[in-house]
Amino acid sequence: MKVLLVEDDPVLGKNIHQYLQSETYVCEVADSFQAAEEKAALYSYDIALLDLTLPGGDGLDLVKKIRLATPETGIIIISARNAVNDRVTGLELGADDYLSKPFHLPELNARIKALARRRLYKGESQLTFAEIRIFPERRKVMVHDTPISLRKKEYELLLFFVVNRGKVLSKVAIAEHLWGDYMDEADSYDFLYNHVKNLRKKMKKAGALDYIQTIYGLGYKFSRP
Amino acid sequence: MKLITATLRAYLLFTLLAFVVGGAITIVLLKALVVEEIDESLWRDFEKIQETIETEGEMTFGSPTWEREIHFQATPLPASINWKDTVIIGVDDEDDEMEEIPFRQLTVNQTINGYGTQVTLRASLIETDDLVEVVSISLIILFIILLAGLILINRQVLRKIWHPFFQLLESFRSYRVTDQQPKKLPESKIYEFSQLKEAFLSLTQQAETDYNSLKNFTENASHEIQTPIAAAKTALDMLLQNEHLEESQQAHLHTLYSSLNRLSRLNHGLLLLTKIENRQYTLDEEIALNAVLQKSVEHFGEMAALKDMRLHFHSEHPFSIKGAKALLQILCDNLLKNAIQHGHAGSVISIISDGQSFSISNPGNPFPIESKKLFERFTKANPASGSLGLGLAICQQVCLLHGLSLTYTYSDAHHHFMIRKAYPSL
Repeated sequence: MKVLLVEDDPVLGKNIHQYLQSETYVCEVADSFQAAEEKAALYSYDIALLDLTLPGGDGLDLVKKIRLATPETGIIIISARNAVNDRVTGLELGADDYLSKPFHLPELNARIKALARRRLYKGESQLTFAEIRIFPERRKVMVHDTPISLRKKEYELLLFFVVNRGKVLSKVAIAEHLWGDYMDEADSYDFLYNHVKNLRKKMKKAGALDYIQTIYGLGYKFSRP
Repeated sequence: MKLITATLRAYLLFTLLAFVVGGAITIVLLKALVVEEIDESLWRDFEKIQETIETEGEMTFGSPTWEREIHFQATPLPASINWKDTVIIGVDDEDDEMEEIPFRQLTVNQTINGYGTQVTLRASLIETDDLVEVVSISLIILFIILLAGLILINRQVLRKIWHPFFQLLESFRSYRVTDQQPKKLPESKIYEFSQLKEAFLSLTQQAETDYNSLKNFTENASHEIQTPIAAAKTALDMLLQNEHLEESQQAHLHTLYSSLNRLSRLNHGLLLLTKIENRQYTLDEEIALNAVLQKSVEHFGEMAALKDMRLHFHSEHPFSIKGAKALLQILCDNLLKNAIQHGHAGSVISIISDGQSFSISNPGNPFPIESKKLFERFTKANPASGSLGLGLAICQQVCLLHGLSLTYTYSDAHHHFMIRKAYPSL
């Protein structure tokens, strides 16, 4: 999958670039409005990640241009301008999602995957990990071809794990993914612990192996043992 | 009081005074004049009678009437002339009813040819009263005409001359610093109004400059602060993937994560406060507050359940206000989150909305801070908690912006947060 990353901060750009490559995306970086404009005109991308505050122009204009030139490209705005107006304008101009800075890389990864499912696979996709199969459009999970019932947060947790398989996920990132700003940190870790416990129980009962590894004091990692 | 009422009232008072005083003087003078006239005619009549008596001696004047009574006696009478106003009960010619009729009376006692003669002559003053009446009525008519003229002219003048003023007033009223559009203001030949216009323009210009510079600041500050935090956060995400981390290093990583998180939320909260204070939100959306509350209840249902708390939401009447939905959502979320954090496990949080106000109450231990400090920035019930101490300060500002009052009371071991419309709509 080809991703265009438009980000003017060199450190942030490099980090995102590296992480996306480790997720086997083909990622190109543009660090200014002009560079992004050129790249978008020359090549077509599956996903474009756009910062709004750019040297040489406003990222919102890029949204318009890309939407016009290659309508099939999925656009995610990544911006520190967390103004409600920008969010609304961005989405109205044709962006698919809006992620405000600072974000966690697993969160960005989850958003890209979700967008790709919606745009590239037209909603016919399924995610598979060993004996686990997830059908995101129907919010359904099967283990060994038997559907299991999960509560909303447990389902979201599992999806986040599967999308970010093999990566160490910090508790902070997972809690933010599940609850956004709604929960204070201290509380969220207890709740997260509970949800992980319940998810493990349900998966085990359905006959799946335990893929959730606890990284002491830090978070979890979803991978084959 | 309206301008037109105020000016009219002054005019009215003055004309009324002028008419009352002027009318009174006119009537008094008129009356005196008429009486003088009548006196003169009475005296002429008397002189005629006296002449007749003197030349013709005792003569018959017929029986006495109201107008004329003449008495003779054999003994002389000491001479005297006596003028007097009197009243006689008689029949009015006009309506044939008995009534008091005012008379002017002249009584002259004298001795003519050795006989005492008393001549009493009277003249009705009823004409004078009629005269006064006619004069008063014409004065009143004049007053009414003058008043009508004043009102008409005033209104015309107000409409014409004050027109630019009312246009300016309308521009003042509809002015929003967020509009930033060139204002179409009326030209006026009147010096005061053109001065007012200039003052208005320079004031709004200043307000717009201030507004824009603060708006730019918040946008830039947000970008400049969040970008390095984002860089640090992503760097941590990468570092985390290192297989050879020791447990102690992992603990350090977690501290870094949560400190960064805190920093970014703090920045977010402070900028939000600045934006609210700078009124960067437009408040023109009609918002059903009960729906916003309902959404908060849904957001926090899970969190409450995990603490064995129950959320009891009861709304009796629709509660709608004009405002910014995002901010009102933050307000409701913050209050509810607060209640869950500081409440006893297993308790019930009741949220009651009655159309003019809503309250969030729950049992809990009293806060160790004064209630008036509660809404200040960086006030924390428990300094060790992860709380930023901005939540209630933000609530306070959102309420201020929307013209709502936010109060906190602690009674019967319950916390009560109450939000009320400061100006209840009728």
